Amino acid sequence: MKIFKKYAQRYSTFLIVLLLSSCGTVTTIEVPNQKISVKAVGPLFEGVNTATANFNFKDLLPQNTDLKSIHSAKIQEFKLVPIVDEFPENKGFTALLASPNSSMQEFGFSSALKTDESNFKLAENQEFLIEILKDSSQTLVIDFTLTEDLYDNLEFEAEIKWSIQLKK
Amino acid sequence: MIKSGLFLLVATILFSSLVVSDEGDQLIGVWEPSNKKVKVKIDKIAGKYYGKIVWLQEPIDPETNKPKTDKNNPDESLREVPLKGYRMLKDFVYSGDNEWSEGTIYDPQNGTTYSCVIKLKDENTLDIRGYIGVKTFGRTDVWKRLVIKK
Repeated sequence: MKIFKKYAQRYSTFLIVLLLSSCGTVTTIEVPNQKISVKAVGPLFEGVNTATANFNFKDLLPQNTDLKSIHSAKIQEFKLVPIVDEFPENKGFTALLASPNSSMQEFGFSSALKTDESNFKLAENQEFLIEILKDSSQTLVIDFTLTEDLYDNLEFEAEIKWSIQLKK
Repeated sequence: MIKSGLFLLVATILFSSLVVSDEGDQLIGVWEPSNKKVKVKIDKIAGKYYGKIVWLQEPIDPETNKPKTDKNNPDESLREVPLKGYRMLKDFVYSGDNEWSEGTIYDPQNGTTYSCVIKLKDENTLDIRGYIGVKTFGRTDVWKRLVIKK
């Protein structure tokens, strides 16, 4: 019995050390608000239209950060600001993210955007972001419904406030 | 002689890869499923093909008297996303022989996403097969391209 206790103590300590070392440390990092120019090439007709922009999330992280170390990712705030004076009359916007090796996913929407009300409602479940952000590049897609034709290009500036945790 | 042969080989490979990517673009256009309840515009984003709802036979929800939203979305927080504009076909890659695979189709009537393959039967007809797990156990729908009458 004594020998059993001795071995149990020794191995339990070993197992705890092993468990702790495999967990690693999770740290929240400061990521600056990301600004992305998004453009829909006109003419744009009444109905559903799309604007897209490609970006590299890696550029936003501290130098030499391994993308595989992303432990959690969340969009805390997403805002779309028109580069022209104001938003054209619209019936709503949907924001999606995609990458070469993952599925495109909706992460936010707005039933109608106005110049002074440009925040999106965000998806509660954003677990899919990790896979997208770990990929080599990302595509931001904005689908929107116009109530009338627009003969010019439509340009926006998207602003994303990220919350990122890395595991080391 | 060897140099020019090598150049020809590289040029042929490059040209054939361009032809393959153009072949995939046959999918781009506006399509109508057999139930004619929606019209779906397929476009290409970052090399993959996606389809969004651009027209609804009944755009207004009779229960709310407001434009229809994705009320069956498994993520409750996205149930107010407008159905018009919703991307129901996602992530299709052209795999050759008039077939697009690796994509999914979303059924807004029950909020379910199925694996999906698309086959172009002729210039204006698609076979869209949705399935869970094994391709054999699925359902095929025939979609027609919206052609502008001259």
